[in-house]
Amino acid sequence: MMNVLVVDDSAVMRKVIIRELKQCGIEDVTEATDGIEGLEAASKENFELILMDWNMPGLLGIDVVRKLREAQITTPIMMVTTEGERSNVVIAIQAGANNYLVKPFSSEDFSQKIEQLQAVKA
Amino acid sequence: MQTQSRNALDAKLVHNLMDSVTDVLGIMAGTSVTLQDVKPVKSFKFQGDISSVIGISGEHGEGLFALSFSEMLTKLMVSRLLGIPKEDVQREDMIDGVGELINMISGRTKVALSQEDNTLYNLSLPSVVLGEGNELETGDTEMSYLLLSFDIEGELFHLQVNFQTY
Repeated sequence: MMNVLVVDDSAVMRKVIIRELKQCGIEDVTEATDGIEGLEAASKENFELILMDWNMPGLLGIDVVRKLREAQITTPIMMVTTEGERSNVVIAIQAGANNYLVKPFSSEDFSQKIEQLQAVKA
Repeated sequence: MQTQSRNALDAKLVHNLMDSVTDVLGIMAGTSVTLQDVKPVKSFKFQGDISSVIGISGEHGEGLFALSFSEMLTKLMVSRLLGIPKEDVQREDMIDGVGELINMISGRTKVALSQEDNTLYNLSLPSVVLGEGNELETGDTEMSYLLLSFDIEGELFHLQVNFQTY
């Protein structure tokens, strides 16, 4: 069973993401309410996937990605963000993100991305 | 010349915002939205019980977008976002949900603006204002605002826009 870390400062968005993960058969989910909490959680525990918002108070999601990669943490990370510009997708990939999902997203978009990440893992 | 380009931008901005509102509420809440009215207004007054406001800035322009819902419509939108009955929606989720909606609407709008202007825009974190009729004082008496009114199942909600180009 995959364990997933969801990092988003919006409680509603975390609930939406957790509901979507459940529909993908993923029940083992840890929540972090901002970038700092996300960095701490991802540094302490081995997750199989991290879903990361970009704009959060304290520490931006993109900076969390950079710090995790600098620390040699190789957990797959998918950005889940309103930052939909192509240039930002490039920045995220260069920082070490493995996939990218722009908000708003449909259930189909979400499950497709999770399947892609699971396929890479397999 | 300046007026023409400003009007052109307003038309594009309104179009982008309309599309963003329709897309965000359609995709995330499975809700059909209809634009009822677009009109210039003289003040930035929050039009509903719960409003979220967000700042946008870029090389060629900056402004504010504010989304205002009645309490009843907020509860309906958040219940659909979360896939739970309206009765189960918590107050804190109503407040957070309205903030997340303006975040997604503005995010989609900024992508469209960035493509049109070939420049990047940044968004602030959203803030939520409780209570109807509160007014945002910008200190500029010449400032004009747009008020977009939308309909969901017979209930109105509003998007107020202030955007200046340079």
